[in-house]
Amino acid sequence: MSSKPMRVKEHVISAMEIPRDLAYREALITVTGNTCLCIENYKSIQEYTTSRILVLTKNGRVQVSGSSLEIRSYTNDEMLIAGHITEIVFLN
Amino acid sequence: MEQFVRYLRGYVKIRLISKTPERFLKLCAHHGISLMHVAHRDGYYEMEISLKDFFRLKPVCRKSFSRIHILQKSGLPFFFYQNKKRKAFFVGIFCCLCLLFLCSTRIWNIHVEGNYSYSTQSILGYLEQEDIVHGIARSKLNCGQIAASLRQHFPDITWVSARIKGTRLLITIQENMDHPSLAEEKESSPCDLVADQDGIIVHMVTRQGVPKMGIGQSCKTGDLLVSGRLEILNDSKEVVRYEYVESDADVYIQRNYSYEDEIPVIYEKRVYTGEVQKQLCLQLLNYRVNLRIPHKGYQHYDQISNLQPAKLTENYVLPLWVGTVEDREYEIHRFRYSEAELREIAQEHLRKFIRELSEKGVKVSQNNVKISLNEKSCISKGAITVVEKIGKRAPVEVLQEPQERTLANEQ
Repeated sequence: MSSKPMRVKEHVISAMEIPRDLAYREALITVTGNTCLCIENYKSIQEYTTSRILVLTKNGRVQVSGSSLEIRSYTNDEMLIAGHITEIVFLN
Repeated sequence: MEQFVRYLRGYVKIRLISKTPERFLKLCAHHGISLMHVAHRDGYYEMEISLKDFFRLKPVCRKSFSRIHILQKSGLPFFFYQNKKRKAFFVGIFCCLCLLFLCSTRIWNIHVEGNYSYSTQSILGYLEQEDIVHGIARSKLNCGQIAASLRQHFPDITWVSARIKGTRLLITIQENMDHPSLAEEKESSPCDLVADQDGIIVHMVTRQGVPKMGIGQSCKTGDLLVSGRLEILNDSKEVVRYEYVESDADVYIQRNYSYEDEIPVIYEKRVYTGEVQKQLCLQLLNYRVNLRIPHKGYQHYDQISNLQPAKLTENYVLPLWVGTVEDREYEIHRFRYSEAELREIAQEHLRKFIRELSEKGVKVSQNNVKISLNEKSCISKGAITVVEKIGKRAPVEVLQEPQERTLANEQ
């Protein structure tokens, strides 16, 4: 059960229809086919190999598995992963 | 576009040697350093970084205990640095830019649209008289003045828009589509109707005016058909005064057209041999240069040019035309028509002549053309009797008004 201030915040956010990625800084993941993946609002990279990329977000870790994985673009806001993606797993 | 901007700003490909590459990446993100194409190869991380961000990497490397090796330098800043000794190259680029700038200050294409009755050539010819030619400086042009002078010189143009777009002068025209003669005809002024052809009157309907000739009478060019002067009579049948009206009548006459046509039995025809020689062609202003391979020396040939103006953008047209010139060789052969062919051609010519008459509103009532053949030619000769409308306006003769008869005058 969440605390009272959190419940109030949730009510306000739902009443004002603010997207959750903006309100809670939750990770926004956009997948295009199985070759391109864009992660916004991430915290950091924990592991990077050509077959596995582990990204830390506010709600936990996101594991992207596949082959020939490459980070096309890497900025403070978003990360663009390209390659042959086979699996996306949310780890807690 | 993004690639082009990266190339302009310059970028380097680096290899990261570190035990904690994740920390390096995190610090880069924290400092707002953008990385591109981060790849994991042979136990190392390779990535591309902009030249500006590269110089901000030092504190990041120190904090993450990393070392970097430069693998490749790309982009315009490095290109200039590598070619700094090639002075002629940069002078060439500078000259090219200057030439482009100079070309952009002049008009290289005058485009006319919306014209129907006036040809583009006639409008361009008039503009040439006004010293507005291809190659004129843009600063010398006054669009408002061009539009006004076009309207003044071509009376049928009701609206003109002249505007400069890039190196093009765009002239849009709207013409008066009503026929001017109709407007003139509507003007009512007293006039006579006189004959403009010789013939025998076969039909006549007078709507206004006094008919001076009747059906069956023969008229000659200049004869008065309908008078626009009305005589107003009193009870004693004497002319009291004259009234002048605009004569209006339909007068049809019958007359003969003489027709003569000769078709030679032997005729010459071009027979293409199939030999074609193509060559590139450049035209700078009015000077044309054919980049010709040795010409084969055809005796007779048709030359077909296909030139396109060179342009940098849609509206930046350069004073250079590029295209191909094609020479098609032909030989002149002599052929002989058969009798049936000659008759068919003669009939076709006659049908075309009659069709042209019908288009003018002339009715053919009798056709006495005979086709005869001899050794050298086929001769069509004879008369075509037609019925056609005649009559043209002529100024009416104004007479002095008759003096009023009074009792005192008679005494």
